[in-house]
Formats: sequence, C-alpha cells, structure tokens
Amino acid sequence: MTHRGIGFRHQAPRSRWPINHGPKDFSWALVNGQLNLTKVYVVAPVIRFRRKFSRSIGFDDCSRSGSIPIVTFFIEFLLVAIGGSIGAMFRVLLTVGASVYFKVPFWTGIMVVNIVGCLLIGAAAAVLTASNAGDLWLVRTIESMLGGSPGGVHGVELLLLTGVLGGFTTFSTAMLDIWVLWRSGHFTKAMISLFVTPLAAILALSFGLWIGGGG
Amino acid sequence: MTNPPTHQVRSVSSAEAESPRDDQLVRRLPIFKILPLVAIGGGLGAVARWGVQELSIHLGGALTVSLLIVNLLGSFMLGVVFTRLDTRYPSLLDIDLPPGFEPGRNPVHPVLTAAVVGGGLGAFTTYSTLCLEFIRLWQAGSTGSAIILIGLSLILGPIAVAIGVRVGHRSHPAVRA
Repeated sequence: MTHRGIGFRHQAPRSRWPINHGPKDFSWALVNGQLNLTKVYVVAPVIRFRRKFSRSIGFDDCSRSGSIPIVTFFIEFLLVAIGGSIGAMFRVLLTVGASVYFKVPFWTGIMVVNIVGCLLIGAAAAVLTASNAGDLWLVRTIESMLGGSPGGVHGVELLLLTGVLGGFTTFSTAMLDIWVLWRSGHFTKAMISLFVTPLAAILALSFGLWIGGGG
Repeated sequence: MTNPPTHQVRSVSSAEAESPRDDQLVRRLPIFKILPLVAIGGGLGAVARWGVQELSIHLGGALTVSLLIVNLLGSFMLGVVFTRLDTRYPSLLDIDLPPGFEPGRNPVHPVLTAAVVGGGLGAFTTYSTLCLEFIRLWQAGSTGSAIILIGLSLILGPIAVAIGVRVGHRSHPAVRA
C-alpha cells in the first residue's frame, strides 16, 4: 500500500462500492439491484471466517470440514453461553417485573416462566425435527458457521433448546419456592406449585408440539 | 359528634427519626444494573449444564441421568446459597443471628444475589428440557423411565433444597461461632 500523504482521510477512496474491489466485492449480494445487507453483514463474515480456518488447516470438504474441532467447540460454547444469557435475562425480567409491577406472589412468576418455556420448547423441538428444518434461515446460518452436515440442526438445538429455553426455565428456584412455602406454613400453595407446574408444563409442551406441527 | 381527624400527627422521637426504617434500608436497583451480571451468570450456568450433559453422554449415560444430576445438584447449591444470600434465611429457620449478621442491616449486594440465584443457578437447572425428555421417553414407549424421571425430580428436588439449607446453616459463620 502506498503512502497517501497527510490528510488522506479527506481524500476520496480509490473506488466506490459498485466498482470491483477485488476481494471486497459484494456484487454477489445484489438482489434486484439492491444491496442485501444481511448477506454483507452476516453471510460474508461467516464465509470469510470459514475460508480462513479451512485454509489454515488445509483440508477440504469432509463431514465437518471448514473449521477445525477447537473452533467448532468454541462456537458451540458461544452458542450455549449466549443462549443461556438471553434466557436468564428474560426470566429475571419477567419474574422481577411480575413481582414489582403486577404484585403477584413470589412463587407464581417462576411457575408461569416454566410453563411458558415448556410451551416454547415444544414448538421449537417440533419445528427443528421437521424434515425441512434445514431450509430455515437461522439453521442455515448457524450450520454454515459450524461447518456441519447439510440439513443438520445441531447448532440451533444448542442455541435455542439448550441455551435460551434451558436458561429461561429453572428447576432450582421452583424447588426453593416450594421449600419456602412449606417452611412458612403454606402447604396448599406448596402442593399446587409442586404438582400443578409439571402437569401444566407437560400439557403446554404437548400443545407446543402441536403448534410446531410435530403432532 | 366529633369527626375523626383527617390526618394523624405522629410524635417522632429524635432517636427514631435518626435511625432509618427497614424499608428505607432496602435500596431499589434499576433493572438494567443487574441484567449484565445476570447475563454473565446465565451464560456460565448454561455452559456448565451443557458440559454435564455432554460428559454424561460421553461416559455412556443417558440424558435422563444428566438431567437428574444437574437439577438436584443445582437445587442443593441453591439451598446452600439461600443461607448466605437470601434475607428470608433467619426468619424461615426461626433463629436470631448475632449482631453484624442481620440480613437487613448488612445485606449482600443484591446484584450478586441476582447474578448467582437468577443467573447462574437458575440457568444451570432446567425445567423445559426435563419436560421435553419426559415427552420423548413417553413417546418412545419407555413410560416407566419417564415417570421415574419426573417423580424422582419432584420428590428429591425439595429434599435437595432442604439438605442444602441444612448444610449451609451448619456451616454459617454466625451459627458456628
């Protein structure tokens, strides 16, 4: 690269976007003359990432090519961690919001969160076990990041089922609430929380499976 | 006939006016201050649960066993943490903690409580995967395993919390002293 002199920030770049930049050409992201920003900001970094790591190792297409195992593990780690963070934040927002703004008793928020989470995981599991799940945009993007087999849903299962919904629902807080209710003398409420939650959750999960088309 | 006074004037002694009331000691935190640490705790908890699942599958076990381990271990740890981070601890165990240990006077920072209880242990244990595994076992025909899974979880869950509270109570510095 040549030295462009003092004040180069004010000079016009050598070429603007529709002109070929060589490796930075995004003309493949044009759809009907419009720049598809999803392809530029999501697909292109993924492709660059995969090219970088597959070239550095030097093997080509096999079952899990495109990324070396440690990279695959790192991406799986990140998927679970990001999913768990999102789920835990939504759970805390919902339970704190319900107890502060709607003044519900402390044990009902977790109950509702668990039942809603089971409904969502039923729908998600049904959608992901469908035969055309590999065509979904999120599934395709994450599988291309992981370098998985075509049509696989492993990465999305980690993100949504293990991460988001596994972090959204909680067992320990529900059990602690049951212990607190029992200890403070509210036996009926403890029994309701202990037995109604799993029944409603399993019914909600079946409903979610029906919504997602899994039967 | 005298009308009741519309407002009552309370005489406040100087000592009562200087010492803050209990509800003044509880500072309300804005939710955006606790959410980042909840997110960090939630990420760590979810990754730990995933690790236990993968390890148990790698060792030849089933997802059922890892679910039981994760949920009961998380309940036990939440029971231990309850005696250190929850302000309901002394009243629910009918004890009076010595000066310096009253939860209202010298509370643990609520952000830490939210991160550990709401984030870490809340994301470490899961209800949705438990119910999903129940449905999968039921649909696969192994009804007995499904009922054992949910039954053991529901019976041993509160017991694990009670054991955790007992362990945490026994090892509490105010109780040991």
